Order: sequence, then structure tokens, then C-alpha cells
Amino acid sequence: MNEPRHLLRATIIWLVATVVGLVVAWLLGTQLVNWGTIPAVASNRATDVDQVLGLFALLSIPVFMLVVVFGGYAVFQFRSHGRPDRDGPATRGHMPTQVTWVVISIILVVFLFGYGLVFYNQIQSASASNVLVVHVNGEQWLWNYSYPQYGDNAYSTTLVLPVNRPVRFDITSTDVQHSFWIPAFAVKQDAVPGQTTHISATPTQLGTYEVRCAELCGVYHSYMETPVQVVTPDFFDSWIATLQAGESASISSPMNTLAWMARDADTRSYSAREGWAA
Amino acid sequence: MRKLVPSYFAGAILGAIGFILGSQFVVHFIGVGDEPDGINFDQQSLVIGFIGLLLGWLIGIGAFKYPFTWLLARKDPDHEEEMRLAGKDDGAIRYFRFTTDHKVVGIQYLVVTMIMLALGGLGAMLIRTELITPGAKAFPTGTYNTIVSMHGMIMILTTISFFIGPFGNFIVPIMIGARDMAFPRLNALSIALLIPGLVIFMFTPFLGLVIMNGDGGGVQTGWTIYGTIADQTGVGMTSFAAGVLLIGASSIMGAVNVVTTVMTMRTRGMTWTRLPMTVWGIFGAALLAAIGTSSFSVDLLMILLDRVYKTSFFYVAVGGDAAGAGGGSPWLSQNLFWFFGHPEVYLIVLPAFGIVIDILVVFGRKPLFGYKTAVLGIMGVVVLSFLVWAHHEFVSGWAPEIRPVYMATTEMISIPTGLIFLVALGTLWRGRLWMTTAMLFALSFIWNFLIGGITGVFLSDVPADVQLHGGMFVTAHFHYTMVGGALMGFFAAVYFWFPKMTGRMMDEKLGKIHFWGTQIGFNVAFLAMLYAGLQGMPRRVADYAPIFAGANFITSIFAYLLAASIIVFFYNVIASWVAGEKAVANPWGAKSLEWMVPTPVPLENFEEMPVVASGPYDYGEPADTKIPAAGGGSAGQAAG
Repeated sequence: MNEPRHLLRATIIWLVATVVGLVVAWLLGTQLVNWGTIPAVASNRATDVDQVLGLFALLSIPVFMLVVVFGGYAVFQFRSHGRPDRDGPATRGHMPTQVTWVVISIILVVFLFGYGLVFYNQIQSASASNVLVVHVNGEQWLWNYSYPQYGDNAYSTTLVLPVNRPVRFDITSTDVQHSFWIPAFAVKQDAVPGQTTHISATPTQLGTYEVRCAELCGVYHSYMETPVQVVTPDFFDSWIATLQAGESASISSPMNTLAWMARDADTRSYSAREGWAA
Repeated sequence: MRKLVPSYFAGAILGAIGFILGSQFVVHFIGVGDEPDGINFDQQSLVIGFIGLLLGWLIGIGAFKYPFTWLLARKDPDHEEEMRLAGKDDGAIRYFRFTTDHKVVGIQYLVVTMIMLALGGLGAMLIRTELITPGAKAFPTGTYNTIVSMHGMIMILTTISFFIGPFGNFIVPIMIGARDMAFPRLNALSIALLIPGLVIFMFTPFLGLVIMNGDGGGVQTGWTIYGTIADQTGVGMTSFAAGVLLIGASSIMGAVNVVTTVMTMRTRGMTWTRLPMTVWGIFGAALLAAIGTSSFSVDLLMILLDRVYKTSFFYVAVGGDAAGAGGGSPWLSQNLFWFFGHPEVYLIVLPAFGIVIDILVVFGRKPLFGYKTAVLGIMGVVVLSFLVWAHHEFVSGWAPEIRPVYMATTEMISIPTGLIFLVALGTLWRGRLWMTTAMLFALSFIWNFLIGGITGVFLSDVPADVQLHGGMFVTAHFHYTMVGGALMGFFAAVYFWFPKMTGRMMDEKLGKIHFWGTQIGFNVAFLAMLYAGLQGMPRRVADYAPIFAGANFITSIFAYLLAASIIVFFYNVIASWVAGEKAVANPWGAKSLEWMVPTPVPLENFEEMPVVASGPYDYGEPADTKIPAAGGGSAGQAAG
């Protein structure tokens, strides 16, 4: 058996494995969303990020298979049973292979960078008109929201957003660094004490999602999680009106998924926090 | 009994006395209790106590003996005295005192890193026990945060010496044909500082129990110790900063020593292009350690000053005032940390690159495929790794416009990393693969690091990173590079060099059990964790929503399997060390210099300095390429 046939066989296996891998990844990718096990795609930003993740996953399959197939082929084809009694061929490199490898990896990197940059700019360019500004203030261990466009009373610990209206979050923190994360919106931005940071998104799906803290911020970091509700513009207006009237800011949460938090609600309270600090 | 006087036992006793004297000096003469939060055991006294501990320890192990006799105007030490300092005719006690012989230091490092690996692994098991089902049941959340922090710090900070310590000290000097490191005393000092550093550092979780009635001990900040939360944490943080400053100093000393040794101590004929890749990998890692660790030390010093003397480098908010009354900068802390933190992970994995390539060559029985390509890969990573740190701050809000630059550099670093895969595949292709346990671990490095690398590319992209940052996806990616990459490389290195370092063979059958348990346990556990990350599970949480329960259960179960297999490894190491089959000088038929000296390696390694006539990878070619001088002894055992 000579060299070219090994190469040919491994190449064919690689191509087949790549095709199979792509099909499996495609099916799995669409099914995971359908099963609802990965976060919902509920903002323009999340739609873009979803595309980026999908493309990266598909691109990584031929690369992954290349290493696995050629490495695996070598392991199974060229292994010796016990200590080998002679050496392999004295090849010290193959310039065309090395050059091709470098060129292809440079092309891949340039493509990834260009693609990432296009999406980055698309995501960064905020929509101009009718932007809802929400001030987010993280403190140990809850999120406070205020809507400066709606007066001093528009303050809440539950985030409520109208659907299809661009939102700009102005984020800061009272004590330590937190990270404001809405997985369904693909929104994440650190809350830094003494600074204000910004991130924008447009919610596109009605529903209830989670706001989480993604930066270790102390004892009850795990419980720094509250709902975000995306509602119709009418509902939002009436809710804001309630706030402006100075009435209770809480709204009934229809979610079951967050019921797990309720049982630990006391541990997230201020008294628990005071107890820790003392 | 007299033999025990300069030794670790004397050092431990004098260190304890020094700690009490130092801390009590502050208590009685400088004053206590002036902290606003009423800490009765002043942080200041703790710091002075640690200085006392360090001095007592160094006196006890005999580190000051020679500097002082030199200061007292006696003659310079002659060769005889140097040999005594290197532990000549000392027996086993030389492993328990200040000894300059690089092989003794290498073994000391090997034992210390294995103990730390076991302790860090214990932390991982506690974490997985907490996370096996939803609900914070096993530990209070504060204790859990301490465990998470300690696990991360133990693994990251003490695995610095994973390779540079045991193999950089023991193997590298012999590989390049040197009698010892360039600075043997500095070498002995680096392990002498590491041990008290580790003791202080490991003591932090219990500090609260012992001194402050259970209040404020432990470090609850994660391994990133961002300044704002570090300023808020209890007295354990001060102790941690002091301990890790010592570890950092030790690591910088070790790194400088390795760099100097490789640059100046190579024997005749050992040109840069004849260095084994192991030396290149450890050399590159040492360059990173020397520069990166300095940045981290500055970070720790600032935290220490912030806490003890209220300097306010990082301290921002006072009493709930968000206007930045403290005047500090949280981003400064992040930048100082990550300027160290990212090179740090490459510093851990670079030696693994070199070692894995060397092992593939030895057990593939084929010359290295593309020597210059491999060097380019390693040195390319060294250069680029200092230019990527801000990708950890894509969501920090720090200068958002600069993000595409770091996206570019981060994606670029996949090019030199990819070269390592090309070299590995090219070397395997058409070799004669000998499936020893060392070879299996080297092969598993390729698989695992491939997954780590590909998931890393996902994280380099700004929009994708914004979603995945701070979540379990990052944790899983990171463990694929650190455990799947570096730890597998470490296992491969232990199986490979154990015969040379201890004179005994490791048990291959137990090795295979260790290998398969590790691979299955590790891969299933962390693939499940990658999935939890895609689901949106945040890192470092003690409790989580039911949607993540399935993935976490699988991760925990297979993490236990991983731990069980590593217990097999520890058993194998101990049993083989005590009663393993005696090793010949060159059991693998390898061709680099360390296999040409007898086992056990004599003091000063070579009777006459070897002259190297060709590279270490001459397989499949006429034999007798390397000509060790008389006394090398066992060159004939190299398989042709």
C-alpha cells in the first residue's frame, strides 16, 4: 500500500464525514430551537447573533472533521502492535502542505473577521427614532429600572418593554460590577460602579423572559434574576400610567419558569444582605 | 537530629514563630481595631505576620546560610561548597531543604503541583456536588463562592508550575546539555517562596473560622478578583493577596531562570534549531510568565494597599453612593488582571504544545513534520497572546470602539495555534505509532484542544461573545483548553518522563484505565456544560433554573467519573514510585539528550559536556546522530 491511496481514502472519509456532520448540525440546530431548550430569539439582536452562531457552527465542522479524520485515520492505520521494530519514513515536512494550510487559515480568519465586523456594525447602529431609554441600576442583588422619559415616578424592579420599539439601556451599578444579561435578546453589558454603559436592542416577540446577572457579584449572585416582560404598546402605556400615578410597581408575573426563584425570595432581600455585610 | 536543622521542619516551626511575633508586634506596638468595620485582628498585623512567617521559613530551611557567610567576608564558595549546597551525599533530606540541584527542585515542584492538583480537583467535586440538582443545598452560597474561587485559583495559579516547575527544572537543563540551571540559588528560592505562598493562600478559607468567629474569611470573588468586589470581601482577601504575591514572585523567578538557562546554558552544538519542542514550549511559557505575572502582582499589590491602607485604586462606591466617591477605577483592575489572565492560559498550554509534539515524535517514530512551522506556531502564540486580553472585556463597557481590533487579534491567534495541529497530523501520518499511555494522552490532547480551539473562535466574535460571555459556554471552552489541553499534556509528560525522574516505570494497565476514564468523564461532562452554556446558564452560580437541570446532572455524574480516574492516576504514581518496575536509561528509544544520561541522573548530569551533532528528531535515518561524550553511558539503547 502506498502513500497516495492513504491520502485519497482519508480525504474521501473527510468529505463524507463533513457532509454528515453538516446535516446533523443543521437538524440539531433547528430542532433545539423548536424544543425550546435554548433561549428564545426575541429581539433583532438575538436574530443576528443566532445567524452568527449558526454560521460559525457550520464552518467549524469541516475544520473539526479534518483533524479528527486524518488524526483518527493515522491512529487506526499506522499503529503498531507493541513496540515498533522500525521507524517511519524520514519526512521532515512538505512545503506545499504547510503553505496551503497557512493560506487557508488566513482566508478563514479574514472571512470570520469580515463577517463578524459586518454583523457588529449592523448591531451597533442604533435605530434613530422613538428610542425608549431605560436606566438600569444593578445593586447587590437586584436590578432597578427607571424610565426617564416618563417622569420621576416611573421606577420599577420589574422590566416591562413594549414590543417592536427600540430600547437603549443606560446601565450602572451602586456597589460592585454586575452584568446585565437578557439571554433572549442577546443583550449583555456590565454594570460598572461610577460609570454608565450602554446597549441597545429591539424586542420583537411578546412574552416573558429572564434578566440575569452574568458577573460574580457576591453571596446571592445566583439569585440576581428577575423577569422582563415584552408587552403590547397599549399595555405598556397603561402600566407606565400606573407608575406615574405613584401606585404599586409590581405586576403579576404569569411565568412558571421563574417560580423557582420565589422560594428563595427572602434570601435575596435587603435584610439578608445587611446580615452578610455586618 | 542535627540533620534536621536546616530543613522544612525547622522552617515550619520558625515560620510559625515568625508569624506570631510579626502579628503580635503590630498588635502591641502599632495598634489595632481602627478598621471602620471593627475587624479585631487587624489586616495590617496579618500582613506583617506573613512577612515574619516568610523570614522564619527561609531561615529554617537554610536559604540565608550562604549569603550570610559570604557577607561576613569569607572567601567565595568553591566547587566543594556548591556541591554541598546542591545536596551531595545528603540522602533523602535534600528534598526537604534549600537545595540548589535542579533535579531536586524539579521533584519538589512535581510533588507540590500534584498535591495542589488533588486539592483543586476536590474543589471541582464540591462544585459539581452543589450543582448536581437545582437548589442551593450542599453549601451556603457564600461558602460555595469561596469554593469556586479557590478551585479556579488553585488550578490557575499553581498550574503555572505544572510544566515550568517539574519539567522546566528537571528535564530542560538535561535536554539542552547543561549541568544545572543558570541561577541554581534563584531556582531553590523560587520553590522556597512557593511553599509558604501556597500555605498562606490555602489557609484563607479557614481564616474566618480561626480568627474572626466565622465572619469574613474566604475569598468570594472568583479567580478574576475584580477590584470592586475584592475591596468588599472579608479578611481572607488580604491573606490571599499576600500569599499570591509570593507565588507570583516565585513564578517570575522561575521564569527568568528558565529563559536565561535556555539562552545561555546550551551545550556545544545545541543550536536554536536543534532544541526539542519541549524546550521551545517551556521557553515561550517562561517569557509569558515573566511579563504577565508582573501585571498580576501589581494588581494584587493595589488590592492589598486598597484594603489595608485604603488607597482607593479600585474602590469606587462608598456607602451606596454611585457617584464614584472612592475615585477608583474598576476597569483598571480588569485590565491589569486580564493582561496577565490571558497570557496565563497560554503559558499553561504552551509547554503542553511542545511536550505533546515531542511525545508524538518519539512514539510515532518519525521526524517532526515541519520544525520551523512548529517554532513559528509557539512563538506566534507568545507574541499574539499579549495582544488579545481585551476580548475578556467585550461587555465591560470599556472603549466599545476598540472591540473589533481585539476580535481581529483573537482570531489571528488561531493561525499559529492551527500550525500545531498541522505539525501533529503531519508527524502522525505514516508513522509507526506505539500506543503507550503517554502517547494516548498526547493524542487526546489533539482531540480536546481542537474542541477548545473551535469554541474559542465562537467567543472571539463580538456579537456572539456578548451572548455567551459570563456563561457556562465560556467555562466549558476554558476547561477544554486547560483540562483537555494542559492537563492531558501534563499527564502525558508524567507518563513519559516518570522513568527518568524517579527511576521507575509507571503501570501501563492502570494508565489505560486512567486514560479511558479521564477521556469519557471529561468529554461527556464538558460537552454537557457547553450545552448548558448555549441554554443561557450563567457561570459561578450556586443555584439555577430547572431548564438547566438535565445538562448539569450529566456534567456532575461524569465529573465524578473523571475524578475517580484521576484517583487511579495518583495511586499509579505513588505505587509505581514506591515499587514500580526499575527503568532503564532510555525505555522509549527516544533521541533527545535527557535519555542519554544514566538513570538515576547523577549530580551535575554529565561527566563531560556532550557535543551535539544533529537534531533530536532523527528517526528513520542512519543512527548515531548524537554523540554524548564518555560517561553518557546508555546511548546504545536508543532504538535506531
